[in-house]
Amino acid sequence: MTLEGYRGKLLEILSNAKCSIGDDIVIVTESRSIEGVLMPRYQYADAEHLVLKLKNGYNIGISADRIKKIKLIGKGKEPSFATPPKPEQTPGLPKVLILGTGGTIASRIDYRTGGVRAVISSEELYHLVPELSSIAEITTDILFNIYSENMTSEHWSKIATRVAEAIRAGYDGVVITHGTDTLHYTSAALTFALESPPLPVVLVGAQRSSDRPSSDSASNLIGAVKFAAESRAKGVFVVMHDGPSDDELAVHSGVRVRKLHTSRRDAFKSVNSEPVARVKNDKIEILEESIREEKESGSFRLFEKFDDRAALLKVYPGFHHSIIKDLVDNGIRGFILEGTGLGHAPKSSYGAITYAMSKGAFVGMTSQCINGSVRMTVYDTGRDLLSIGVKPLGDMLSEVALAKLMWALGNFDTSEVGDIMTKNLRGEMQERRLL
Amino acid sequence: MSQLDPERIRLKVGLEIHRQINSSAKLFCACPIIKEEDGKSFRRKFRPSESELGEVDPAALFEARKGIWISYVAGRESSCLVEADEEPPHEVNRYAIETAIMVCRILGSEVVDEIQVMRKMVIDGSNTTGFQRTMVLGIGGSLSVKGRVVGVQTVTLEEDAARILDSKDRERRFSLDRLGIPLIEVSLEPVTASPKEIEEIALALGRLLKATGRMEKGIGSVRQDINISVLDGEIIEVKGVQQLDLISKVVQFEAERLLWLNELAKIMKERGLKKGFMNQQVFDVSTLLSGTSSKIILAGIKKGERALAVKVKGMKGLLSKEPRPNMRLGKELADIARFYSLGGLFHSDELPNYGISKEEVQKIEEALNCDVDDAFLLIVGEENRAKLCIQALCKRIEQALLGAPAETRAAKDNGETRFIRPRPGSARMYPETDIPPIPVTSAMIAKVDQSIPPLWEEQVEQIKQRYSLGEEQAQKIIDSDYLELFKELATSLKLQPTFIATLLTDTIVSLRRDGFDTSKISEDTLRTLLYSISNGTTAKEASYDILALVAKEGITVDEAINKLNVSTITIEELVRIIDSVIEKEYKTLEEKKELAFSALMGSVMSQVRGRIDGSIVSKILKERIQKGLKN
Repeated sequence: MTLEGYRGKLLEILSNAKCSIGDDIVIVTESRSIEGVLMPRYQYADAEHLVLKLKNGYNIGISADRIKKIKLIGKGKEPSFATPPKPEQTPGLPKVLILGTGGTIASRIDYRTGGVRAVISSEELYHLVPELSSIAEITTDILFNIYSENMTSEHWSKIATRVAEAIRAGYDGVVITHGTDTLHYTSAALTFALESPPLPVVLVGAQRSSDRPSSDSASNLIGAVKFAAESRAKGVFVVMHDGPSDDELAVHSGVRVRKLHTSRRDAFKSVNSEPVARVKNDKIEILEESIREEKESGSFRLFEKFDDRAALLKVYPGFHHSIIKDLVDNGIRGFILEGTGLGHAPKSSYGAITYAMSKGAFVGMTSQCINGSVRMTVYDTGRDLLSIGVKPLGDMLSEVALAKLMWALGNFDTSEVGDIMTKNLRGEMQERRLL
Repeated sequence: MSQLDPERIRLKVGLEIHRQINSSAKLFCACPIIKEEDGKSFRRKFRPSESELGEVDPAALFEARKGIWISYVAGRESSCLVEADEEPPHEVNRYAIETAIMVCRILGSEVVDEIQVMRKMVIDGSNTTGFQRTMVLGIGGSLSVKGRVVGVQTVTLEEDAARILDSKDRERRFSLDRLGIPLIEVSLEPVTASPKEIEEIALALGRLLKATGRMEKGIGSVRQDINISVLDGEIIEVKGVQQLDLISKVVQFEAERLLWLNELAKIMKERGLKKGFMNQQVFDVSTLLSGTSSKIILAGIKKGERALAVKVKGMKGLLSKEPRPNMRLGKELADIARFYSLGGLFHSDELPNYGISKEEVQKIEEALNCDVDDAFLLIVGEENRAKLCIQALCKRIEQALLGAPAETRAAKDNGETRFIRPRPGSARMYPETDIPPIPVTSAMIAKVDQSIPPLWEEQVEQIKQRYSLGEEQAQKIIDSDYLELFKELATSLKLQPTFIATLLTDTIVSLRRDGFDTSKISEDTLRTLLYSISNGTTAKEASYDILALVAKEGITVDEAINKLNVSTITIEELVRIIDSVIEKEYKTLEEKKELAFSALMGSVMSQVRGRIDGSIVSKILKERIQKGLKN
């Protein structure tokens, strides 16, 4: 589109003047003539202003009402992004596959929304971070390019299937670039889908978009590729900033991690546990040796199915029990109740929970306290819920429990779901929590 | 300093004046403006991003090549997650927008219909984001200075940068307290005028801004950038000139430097040097220098660094040619090497020296296959860094063929300038997508129009009349940081307004000239002192000494009065002192009669100076002498 974002009267004026985005133009108003380059208009901005880039680089908005005339003085090139040349690769390095799924780690300025949008391919990213070429021999593959809030369990299946292919193809590690909003759901889903992976599968994102010089995308990506290439760890991990500094990254277990801040670089924290490793000043420091335990060869199995007929409900004062009933009647097969305190829900909901179970739905309990484990034997309410048949899910994070439930519903018989959910399969539930 | 003819050398100077706005909050968050140096620290590294038009800005690349770490200190009082780039910017400070609109209206600039916040790439670490947020509010307008009309290019509103605390060994440290303070910037059209006239323009613009009553006071609240060119050559941007009286010196130095570089280009052409003459092979001469007595080179080689050399064809003698002190090509090159954090740069014009022997110079010349006219550069450093640096140096020497290259320089306290980086292009701007465009309505402008205070000239007139001050004194008090304090004290104290004005202007200036740190003299100090004078606790004459002691020792006014023994004395005490002097000097009095007065006055004053008004001393001394003679 040559006049992106413009509409109404301005679109007409600009079309009549035969202008396109990037052209050198002169705007004549009552008081003066202003020379500059025609810039695109964000789609959701108003239709009344034209955006002009002045010679000094600044953009200004000029009201359509004041424009007497527009003179085209030179055709320009449309704004586009140049990609630096591909760096030379060092041969003989570990082979790492970078899978692109979208998000802030791979994004640029977008005129459509006036915001930041995922548009850079992983390959382009690799070009932009030439350091990667001395860490690993990298292949890139764009699976899809979406904001992580638009991720579904179908996307999880596709990622898991692609990782399984990479394992069979003999890669030494896989890095998945991902939007941060739901990155911890995906890390949990992959942990369940990939049984005994013989390599590290590392999810990585960025809290500052890669179009800005202070972005954490490069340092996170370098750390993730390094961990994928050199750690010899096995499993699904999340690599992100450990604090506000760029020289210290934390490696979290894929089922122990949660986004705990809207904007900070160190938004991801291990909950009820510590990070399993750190990448500090470009050096890997393993904190949890068990992540390097050798897996029996050939023990890797893929369980890529998910059934998204599961719901995560937060209990709150005045919680309306009909929510549960309505969902059951709409085909929901399982519930994670994020209860209060040690794992409680109000008495008024007992009936609806009983109804759900009578229809064969699974009901499991986590805690909205985020930190700590449910313990439903302490108070009457907990004991009541246990007697109805609600399953306590220990210190499993609610998001992890939801992903696990979708996975359990997708791959196993309904009768097995209760046992699977209450059993620690991948480190998602732990007995010991330290002071 | 020789007189420059601005017309003949086609001197063009454009001023950009930045002033902090006295807002209660920063431009993009609610943090107050407080000076703070302690707090949590963190480290970051930056990479250049691509600009809207798809080119990576040369200045940004230049910084990125340095690959340095930046440390930040985030004070609890003065910064939040926004300054740490851990949270998106909030809405733009309304007071700051109003202030910028006000300046536009005063200057006759056309206010934009819609404000677009931009990101100006700055990856030297002074902004945690890697860019400075900035926006144009007004275009055009003019300023009249002594009959000369100076055009205004733009009025912009931007965030101040973080404050550098120190810079060493490839790591810089900044405090976040200053980051995000709203700054107004007025860019003037280039003018051809003498250095002194340029300074007058800056003064007039500064006064105009200050008269809004919306500007921050104190050191660092004003910064002037000066864009200079001569003979239609490239533009040099000199950043951060804080003192007004430095402007003419900087313009003078820079104009002379540019003329010299033009001269140098001519000489180079006469020597037959042509484009591409610096396409020379770089040699590793570390082994040739293994036995050197140069400490820098030895220490470097020991650390695993390399000594690299490159031939500078036909330039013998030109690297150290110095038309005036501190103006030579060798120095420009040293500044570039410092930019790459490499201290060990030598050139053949200054050798043998610094522990490098004549034999070693010859060996290098042989290795580089130098002719008699050729010079060479020698640099020690980590190999990749040294290679990048030597590339930059060769490029700079090649540029000398065309005169002065466009670059950004910093002003030193003596008016000289030094290279900091190549001059950035407009490619360094791209839209700040975190903040939607802000429409400027006619209602907003009308509201501002109603609150525009009187202009500077009118304020001078008002002050003159209300407080019976002379023209110059009224100007001085308005130009000072103490206008409000003056108004308060001149109204509430019995002291003469002229005395208060003198103390707040001339006395402070004298103290500064005499080397006292006047930033240690707070408004409260001045208020207390004037109250003490007003109620008779101390005498006017002691003001300078009291303030000097406060500035020097950081004590209170009362402590200074005690320490200086300048609390006032009564007439009875004075009479007693005078009588004892007369008694001691009785013989002189007998001989000289009335003529002995001045000797006696000196003697008395040495005991009572600053403790009682001199006119009272003189009056009483005369009386007592008369009385003594009669007896």
